[in-house]
Amino acid sequence: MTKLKLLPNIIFVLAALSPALIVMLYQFGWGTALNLGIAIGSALFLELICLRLAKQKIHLNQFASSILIAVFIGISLPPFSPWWIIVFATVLSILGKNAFGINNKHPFNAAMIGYAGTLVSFPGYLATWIIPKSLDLGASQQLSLSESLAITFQTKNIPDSMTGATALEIFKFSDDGLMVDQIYQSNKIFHEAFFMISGWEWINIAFLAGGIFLLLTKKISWESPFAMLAMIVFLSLIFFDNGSSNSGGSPVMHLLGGATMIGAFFIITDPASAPSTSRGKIIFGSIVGFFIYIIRVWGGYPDAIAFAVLLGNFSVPLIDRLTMGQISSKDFDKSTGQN
Amino acid sequence: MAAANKMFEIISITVSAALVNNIIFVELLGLGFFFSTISNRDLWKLIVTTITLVLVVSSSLFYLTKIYLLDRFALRFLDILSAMLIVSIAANLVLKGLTNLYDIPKLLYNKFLVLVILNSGILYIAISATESENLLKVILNSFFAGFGFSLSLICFNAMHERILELKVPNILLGSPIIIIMAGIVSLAFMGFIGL
Repeated sequence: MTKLKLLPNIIFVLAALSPALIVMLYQFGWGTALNLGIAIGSALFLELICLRLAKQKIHLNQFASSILIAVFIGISLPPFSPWWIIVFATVLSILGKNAFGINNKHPFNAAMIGYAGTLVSFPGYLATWIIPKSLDLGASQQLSLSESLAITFQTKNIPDSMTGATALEIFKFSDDGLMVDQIYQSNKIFHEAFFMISGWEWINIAFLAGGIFLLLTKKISWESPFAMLAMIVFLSLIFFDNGSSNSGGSPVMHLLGGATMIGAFFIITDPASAPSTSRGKIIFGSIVGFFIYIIRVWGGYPDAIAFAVLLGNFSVPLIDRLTMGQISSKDFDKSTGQN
Repeated sequence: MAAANKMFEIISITVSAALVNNIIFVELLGLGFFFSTISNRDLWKLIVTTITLVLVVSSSLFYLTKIYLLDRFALRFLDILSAMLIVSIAANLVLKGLTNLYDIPKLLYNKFLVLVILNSGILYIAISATESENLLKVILNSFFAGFGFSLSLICFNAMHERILELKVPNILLGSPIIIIMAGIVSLAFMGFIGL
């Protein structure tokens, strides 16, 4: 991707994210807005410092890409996270982006470095989410802006009635021996939903809509999202096990729960860290989908987009090397015997 | 049912040896050898084959020694010493075999020998693989540990080549950026905790 094209592309991506952002603002109230605000502010500040340190002129592209990274961080962290968690994640991602050079060619997805680093460092803060508004539990109401600010800057604790586990966490950590239907029956987040998982289904569908918009405008290619979603559906069909107590969960839950759609359409299509051939993109997407499923079902974390994307990114140069054609034997002869 | 259980056990050995306990990114992040990158791509195939073979041979030899010699005569305090001896013997055997099969230049052979014998990773895997119950599991475990080792080395080499093309800031050029990269990958491997 040429440099000139970067800025319009990022504007397109932000436009495609907007339906999902609106849904999230509706479901989680001011929390998402504060997340986004703190993340974008600190990302711009850090980017400025990085450009100063590198003695580079101020590029608009740089700022646009760091805004995009900050938006991803703001979406992926739970609403009403303490401010320093958000700043920590942003610092990690901006450093993870700029350590590889100020030219937006970072080999690892920067937002996912920040998220994974924060998840590993402070798992407790990232474990609970706000209960979405569409899952009306009676006690939950929208907080005002001043209350939200107080929670984010930790002068006040978040009401316990407002937090809860996400659907994937409930499914993963529910008691052994429960059939899938029993888990659905005993948790409001499943059986009061319009479609599978209350609140989250609309977020994921909005991300899907944004992704389809990007596909139709040809800003992203279809290969890697398609391969990733197909891999997840395929694995969850194999291990669905007719809803027994060993079941890995239904395909619909895996598609609409957690961050599947944003991962498929917005994270792994990042041009800097994706393979360049279409065959490579299919392999990359399936690797990411495979790791997401196995970590979700058998691993220690309820969702795995960040780890799976980083592992996928790590394999990208090898995929490129394998799909871009063999090296000629001349290269080999020249360098034999030289280490 | 028994066959299915066996199958599941084999798959879990495979995954845990190759990914969950990946020698480079989970167990020994500071493995010296993988930071010294080798530019010749075809050399990698040889190195990778050697490492995997040496691993399988040395850990099965060490397992047998442990059972029939060390345990029988209560010599468990000689664990590490005998493992080192066995690893160097196995490395020599495998390299002798490989030089007969392929045409490896003399200079490379010596370099290999040093690299392979001094490789703390092999020692580590060989010792930890022999915690398994029977010889088949030892062989499987060491083979897939070698597989994970090789896969990470190859991926890492490819990644290093890509990073050479980037405009990495001067202050991070060389080993700092490689260590940062290793840290990020190790972070990704932390996702396998509990698998």
